[in-house]
Amino acid sequence: MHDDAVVTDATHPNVEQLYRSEHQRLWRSLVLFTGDREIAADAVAEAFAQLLRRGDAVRAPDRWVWRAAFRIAAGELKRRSAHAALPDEIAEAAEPADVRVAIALLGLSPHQRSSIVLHYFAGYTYKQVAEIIGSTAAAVSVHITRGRRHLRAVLEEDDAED
Amino acid sequence: MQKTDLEKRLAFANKLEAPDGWPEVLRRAEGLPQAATRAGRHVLRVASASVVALLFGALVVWAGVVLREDRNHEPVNAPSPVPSPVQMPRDAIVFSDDASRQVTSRRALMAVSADGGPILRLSPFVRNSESGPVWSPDGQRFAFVGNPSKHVILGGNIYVVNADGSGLVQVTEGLRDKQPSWSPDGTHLAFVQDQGTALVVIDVDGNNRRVIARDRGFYQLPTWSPDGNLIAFRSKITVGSEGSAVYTIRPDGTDERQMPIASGGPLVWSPDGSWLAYPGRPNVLWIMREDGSDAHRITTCKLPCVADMDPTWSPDGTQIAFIRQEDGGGATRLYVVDVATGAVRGLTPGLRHVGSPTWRPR
Repeated sequence: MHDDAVVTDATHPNVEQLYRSEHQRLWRSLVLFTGDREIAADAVAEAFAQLLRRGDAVRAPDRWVWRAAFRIAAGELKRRSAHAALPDEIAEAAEPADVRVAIALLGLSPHQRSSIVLHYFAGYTYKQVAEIIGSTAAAVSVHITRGRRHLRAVLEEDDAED
Repeated sequence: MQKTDLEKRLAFANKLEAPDGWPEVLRRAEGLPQAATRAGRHVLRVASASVVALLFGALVVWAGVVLREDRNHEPVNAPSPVPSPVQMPRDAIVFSDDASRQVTSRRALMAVSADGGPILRLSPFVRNSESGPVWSPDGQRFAFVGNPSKHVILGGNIYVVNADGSGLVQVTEGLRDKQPSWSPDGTHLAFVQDQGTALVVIDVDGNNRRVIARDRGFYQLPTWSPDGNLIAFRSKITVGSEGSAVYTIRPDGTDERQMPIASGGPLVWSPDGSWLAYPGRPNVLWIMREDGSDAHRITTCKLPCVADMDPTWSPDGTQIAFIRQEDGGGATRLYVVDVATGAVRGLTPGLRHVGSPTWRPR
């Protein structure tokens, strides 16, 4: 479960400290969300750069930067919506079973996928997930239920074929 | 699927190592033209007086040109580092390839004859990543997006270089631009800036940079019509909406119209302007007449094909080169389809991450 970092002043040292503590988990979450390491890296960098530029105007930088990064990544995914995603970008470091999970994730809707990743991988509560993706806890619950149902169907079918 | 099971199955992502992007964060936050850390910039400041002067002098002697830093987006002329002239095939299809397959993607420009044969490596012109090539209408030079930064970004500077690799010219600066498209008279480039927040037109010499559309956001994939009167592009339908559509607009930013097609773009005119090619449903290439009639598919995409995209017409309009994404690893490779027969041939079977093909005009 994610501990809410208390960062009240988005000055450079604090933002760098936040970056050091968060960027691995944020980047990995974005890789699961996008299937693309480059989009994930770009979204992390851009989100933290925007956080630096906004300075003290951001009250809860930890949550803000997750929200910004997921929005940036979602925007880039939309741009590429005519193209299928590229799960092989994470295949190099993964076992075949893991690749199947990544591919199955990419079959979810963006909201289902972000909700599943943020809850089951990043460890956020439904309410926190809702804050990050700009939704409600009830809607997140629906996204997760439907997403799990889809994943179960796809992955159990794959497992049965093995 | 139980929660614990799902947590376990997603935990593989913990094996992935994120890049250290903090220097890139600082560069972006401060709008620096080059990637540099604070510490790095301090060192540079200390050494800059002597080193820059020496380097500058050496460049002047070496190249016989004067590097010009300017504040008005004027181009910076610099010699091409390509050591010998490139023997560019007359029917070359230039494209980008990412052979690194690393987190810090490094794309390179390549070329291949439309008839097949060896693949010619064109990069590096500016290092470290070069992508998005597009031939000028006269086929004598091409524009591309270069990222001299050592960090991954989704934009870059736009450069123009002669077909033989000489005469490199930097058209834009700030590492914020991508997806250039030439005006048919070769005097202007249209492109998107800042990850699609605006559609921009600039003189090819780097002057008169002007935003022609910025209201809705996510502007993408501009292409100029052969008569020069329209620029097609993709953008959101309304601010904040989920959907996007293909539009046309005049180069002066007026008369914007939504196109009646279902496509993620780009919309690519045939050389004579009578046909449009575009990726459509279900992930295949379509063409239609400019008036919207006679729309039909020209490729079929069955496994291992996942999607056909990025069409570029042959000079005579009888063939289209395109990128085919293939399952079983998600490779993207260059193919050519005969418009009349639908016959398809692959040109880059040995490459796995090919993109942005552009067919040399005659």
